[in-house]
Amino acid sequence: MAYLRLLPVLVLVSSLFVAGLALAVVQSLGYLPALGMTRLTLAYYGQVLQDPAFQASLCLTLRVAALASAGACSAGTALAVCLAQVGRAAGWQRLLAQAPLALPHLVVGYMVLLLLTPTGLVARLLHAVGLLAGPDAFPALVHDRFGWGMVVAYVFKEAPFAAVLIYPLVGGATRRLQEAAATLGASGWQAFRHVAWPLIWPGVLTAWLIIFAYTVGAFEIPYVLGRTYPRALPVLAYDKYVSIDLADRPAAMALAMLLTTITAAVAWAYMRLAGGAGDRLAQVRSGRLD
Amino acid sequence: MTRAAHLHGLILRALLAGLLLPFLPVLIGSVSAAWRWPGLLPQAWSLQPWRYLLDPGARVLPALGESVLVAAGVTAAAVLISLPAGQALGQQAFPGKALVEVLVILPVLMPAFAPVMGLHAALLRYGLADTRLGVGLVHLVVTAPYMVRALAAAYATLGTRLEEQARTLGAAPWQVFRHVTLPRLLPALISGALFVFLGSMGQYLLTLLASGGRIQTLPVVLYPLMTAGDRGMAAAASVVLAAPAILVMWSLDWAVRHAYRVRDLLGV
Repeated sequence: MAYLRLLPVLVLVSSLFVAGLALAVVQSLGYLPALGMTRLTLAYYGQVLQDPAFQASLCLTLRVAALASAGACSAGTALAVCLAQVGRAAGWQRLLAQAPLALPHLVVGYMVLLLLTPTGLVARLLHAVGLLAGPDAFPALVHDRFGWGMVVAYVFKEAPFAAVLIYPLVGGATRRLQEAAATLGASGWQAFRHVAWPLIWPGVLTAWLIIFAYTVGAFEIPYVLGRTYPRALPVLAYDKYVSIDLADRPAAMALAMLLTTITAAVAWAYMRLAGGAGDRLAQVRSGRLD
Repeated sequence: MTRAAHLHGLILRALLAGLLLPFLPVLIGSVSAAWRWPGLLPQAWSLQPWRYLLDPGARVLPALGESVLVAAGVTAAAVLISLPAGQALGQQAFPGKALVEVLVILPVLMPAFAPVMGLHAALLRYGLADTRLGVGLVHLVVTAPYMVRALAAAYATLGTRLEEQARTLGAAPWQVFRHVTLPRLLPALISGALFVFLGSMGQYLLTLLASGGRIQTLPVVLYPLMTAGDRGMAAAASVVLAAPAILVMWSLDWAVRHAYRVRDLLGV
């Protein structure tokens, strides 16, 4: 009976996704009958892995994803904890904290672009208070080799998302347990470290993994804020895919599959962790504690 | 106010100021004609970008209609397929459940453009490639998992006790769902539907890949404006893309809170 209820989702969502992946794998191995290519080969993977452009892209993508997810989780946890502690937060504070959730990613990229270019709003504010001589003195934060602009854009967009994931873990139930520990003689730090933190950190780690996995595969923000070299991995894959030379197609698929492998590894880590985090919170909620 | 609450209030205001900052250049820029360095405000104001966007020739309003049409269809389909799936995942145990959970959450964790690129040839063969149905299907694949996840969590929290009691009192299954389950499911249903709707409205790359640019949703029409030279136009386009989404989210938030406040007052 359960299988019947799951059938629509499995047919319309999961099987399409998996079938698409399978087709991408097959094409990355060089199977493109429309072009007369029918022999399976790993040559395209070899070609991609040895390309210095790919290696530079990989470094950039992983670096930006790691920093972005760490920043978003830190800011998101701070947001969640502050909103929980402040209690009946004024309506506008809650609304503003939610706003980035609704923004499309390309718009976020453009907003951060206007903010962080050498003649952008931040530069003008610094100039107005006398901290900046002119646009030339402003560090390159967009279209830069490191990827700072992209990190800022992701933190802006994903911190509220992390806050939404973490807020239930820092709310009433956790604080009541901390207070209970305090009545039993624990200091503020002990109550946090041994009671609250074990409940919070799996959620933070889960949020980090979700955001990291998403950021590695995201296209739109690097498209707006990135350089032409090195390009983020998804942009590299897209450029190869829309290339006029159709013989580039298998290499594009190989790039896409390498990208997918990275996120699959992160997804696997998330899977191992997510069960544990959910169980803990459910136990707290229902009053059972070990 | 305690010292802890005071400190937290301060940090909160700093964080919110940081969240507000990126909105300013876009909001101000969309009504500016000239905003050169080092002005904190534009030297010249103008509504020209807006006049252009609202002009029928710019195809912005039809594109908005297209986006809403596709998004509404995707949301309706997501609700229909996610309710039973969420119930099964949230309340039932069955062999292979772990595998099903992995399959359902796959599009959340892995980028969809590899599967969509792979599927494009298949879409072409079945005549779905440049159609609203094909685009809607692709949007569904990447947004439905969030709704299934939200509903599964909600169903798990709700349990089956009240439904069982209603059944023993003689209610038919559809009555149980309509009067017992649905009202308590509403917050998760609304937030899931919101996520799906906004997710579909904001899709650019996948719409492009699945329709080759034939289906002109709002992002497809407006994004080229944002990479072109005219800053005022790009800013106005950003506002057109962002404002409806934010307003929809805020009004649903208000509606849900208002509904629960009324229920509390009435004691129902």
